[in-house]
Amino acid sequence: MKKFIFKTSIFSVTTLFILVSVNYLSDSAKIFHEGYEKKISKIIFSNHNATNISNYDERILQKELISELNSSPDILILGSSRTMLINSTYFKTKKVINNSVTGASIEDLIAVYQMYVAKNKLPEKIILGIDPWLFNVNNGLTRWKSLEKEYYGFSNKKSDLKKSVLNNKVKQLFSFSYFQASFGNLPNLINGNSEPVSTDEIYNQTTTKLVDASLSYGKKYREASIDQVNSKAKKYTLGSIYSIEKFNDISSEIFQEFENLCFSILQNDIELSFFLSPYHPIVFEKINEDYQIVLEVENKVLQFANKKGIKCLGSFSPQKAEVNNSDFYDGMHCKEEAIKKIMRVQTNNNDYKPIGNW
Amino acid sequence: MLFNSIDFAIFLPIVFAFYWFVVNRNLKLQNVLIVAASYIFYGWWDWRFLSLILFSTVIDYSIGRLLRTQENITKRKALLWTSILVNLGFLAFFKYYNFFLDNFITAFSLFGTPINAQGLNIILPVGISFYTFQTLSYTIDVYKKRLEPTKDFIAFTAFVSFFPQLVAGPIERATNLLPQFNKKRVFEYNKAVDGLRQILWGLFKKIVIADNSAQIANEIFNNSDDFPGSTLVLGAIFFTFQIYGDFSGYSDIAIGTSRLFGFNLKQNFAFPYFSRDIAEFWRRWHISLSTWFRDYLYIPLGGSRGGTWVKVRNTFAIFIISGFWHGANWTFIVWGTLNALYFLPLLLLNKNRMNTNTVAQGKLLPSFKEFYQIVLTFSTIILTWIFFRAENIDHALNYLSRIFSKSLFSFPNFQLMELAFYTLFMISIFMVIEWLGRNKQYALENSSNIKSNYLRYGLYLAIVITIMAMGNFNQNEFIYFQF
Repeated sequence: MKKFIFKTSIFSVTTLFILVSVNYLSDSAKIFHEGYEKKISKIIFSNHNATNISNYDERILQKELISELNSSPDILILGSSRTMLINSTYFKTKKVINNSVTGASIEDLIAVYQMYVAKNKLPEKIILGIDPWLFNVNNGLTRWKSLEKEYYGFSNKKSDLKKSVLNNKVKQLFSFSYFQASFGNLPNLINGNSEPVSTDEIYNQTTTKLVDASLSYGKKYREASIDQVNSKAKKYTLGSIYSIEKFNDISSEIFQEFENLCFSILQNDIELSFFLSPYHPIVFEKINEDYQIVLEVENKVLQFANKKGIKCLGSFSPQKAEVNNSDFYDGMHCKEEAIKKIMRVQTNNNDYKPIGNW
Repeated sequence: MLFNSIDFAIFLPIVFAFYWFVVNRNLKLQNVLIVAASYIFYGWWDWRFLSLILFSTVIDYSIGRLLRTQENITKRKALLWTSILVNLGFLAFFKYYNFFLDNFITAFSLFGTPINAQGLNIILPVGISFYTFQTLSYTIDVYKKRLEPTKDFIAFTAFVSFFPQLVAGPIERATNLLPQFNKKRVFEYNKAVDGLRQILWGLFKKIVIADNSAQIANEIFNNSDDFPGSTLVLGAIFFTFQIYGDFSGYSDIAIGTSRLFGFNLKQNFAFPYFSRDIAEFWRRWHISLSTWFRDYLYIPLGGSRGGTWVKVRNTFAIFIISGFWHGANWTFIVWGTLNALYFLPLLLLNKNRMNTNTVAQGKLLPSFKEFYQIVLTFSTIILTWIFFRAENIDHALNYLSRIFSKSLFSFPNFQLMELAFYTLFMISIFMVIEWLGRNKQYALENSSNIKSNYLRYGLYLAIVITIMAMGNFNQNEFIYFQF
């Protein structure tokens, strides 16, 4: 019996050791190793683009970028991945920054705005990306917790920040799901390919954060044919549509938070515009059939904008936004040209304006 | 409680420690502990249905005791039928009530007499088909005087509710399992290590093979109208491995866990996908159920001793009832009928026992003929699984008609292609290991022959890492829980 207990204990400890070591060392989402986002930020502030970037905490990156800003932006873009491609070449003005984060929830929008308030570097204009899931209480989005302190700072609410961060770290250390992500990242770690790379190219093999903090997609994504994109969109409709499952009604609490954010922006004499990024026609057909709530969100936001005199650009509907199948990278992300069309961008061939030059 | 859950990972060592360190000197207390652990294990899912198990236990224990002293044949028969009616009555009510009602209504509607009857919102108690058959085997064996009825109520309760095999088998015979509760159990190092090895292999089958295959099979079966024939073939293949990995994985964990407590359960799967004909497949797939039907239904009906008509009748009876045992749906009945149709020619030509040995015994690779037979049998089995998995007969027929269309020759295309590629890769490795260990009780048993400790433990560690890196950790239920 002793031999059995001894051997199974050794085996169990070894297994746990491997689990914890891979999770800690490979650390796919950079939970245990701070500084990855700082490296990207440094590259951007040295007036270069940062490529070969993956699985970092976009919220922390925004924090790094905003903390390094020397002056207030003229135009600030807030939103999700659906606004991430809006960049400084669309505007004549020099100081444009895109602080969009993937899967942005209302807490993200508030937290990033709050960072500008706290730093007293408020912009002249904010373009606020509106996504339907913002108002879905069941959207399942928790990534905003990286900016928990900033979010609670806006509403002066208290949070049990230390406890939740610690719990999350311990959980991830023993998580099989995190092991799977970190295990996949091991080859990059071993080959030393896990660090961000500085480049002056805008279009690269992998995703690139540009000098104005906007994004350009990797080669494979950019070069997909219309058929491939249609197929992606079709497949997308077979699964669950991002964060709008169990979306039964527009949360009044969240809408109140959204209104509070807008009121605060307007009270600070900041010009506010909403940007509604369209869905791919195939996806929108599905939305029309099964997710009527998305259309209700658009109506409610438009009504609010009309009442407050806020300019509204675009629509979730591709027909209304006057875009077609060729204007998309996938089921929910428009190409730059489509965004320019929606924003009625007049200027062409402007350069990217680095935030490091402000 | 699921075998592939954290709950079970905590539960098992606790029960193990109590069993071998606290109550190890007293057989009765060990049995009491097994009963308590089994009731906790089952109650974790839904404690209300513990009363059903307890009721079946009391009825069959009492009938067993009465049969011991009763010599009058009529009274003995009455006792046997009481047990059969009570046990099958529960099964019929919980599993088949709504099915019979729906079909009754449909049948009467066809004759122009519409009936308004409401079905009941019945929850199917997990594992009811398994423990019902297990307790029935006890009463029948006692009735037939193959087994002396037990006096020990605790041992009998432990036999009925033994947690490793309570909810999804193997369906143990009282003649094999019950005496083990009356024998002093001594901890055996080799047996316990073998148990852990089999648990590890079962977890690999379930978490890596079955649950990843399930994701793909579900997507394809649930949206079969959107996919070409080639993709549907892939869906059927993935389901074929899902059901094997899921069910045989459960059996491996059950057998392995039992070995940790000093028990021996019977082999339930003997590498069925290497069968050379359908008769061999049925000797290797869900052995405990097949032999149950053989001994308690097929042979009493006359088996294959009568004329052609008796053989045909008995073959259809056993396969259709076996199909119906799996679920209250016509798809299972068609599945059973198809298997009967495959099996019947072999039986009538006396070729059903041609392949009773291990395929390519002592050789690394099968002969061309054997390989051809394996592929042919495997392909026919895949077709039957389509009925097993489909929502209804229309779905199955539609699925098949899409497979046998021009689109069969297009390139498969669906959302989870990447997952499909690496799952196919894992299935290939899995099948190689299964092939190499096909003369054993389970494939990994062979690894005990590896002399080097480093190599042997390295292999186990590699399997653990593969489970962690490639497994699906959504704690999916085992398919056979629903049966």
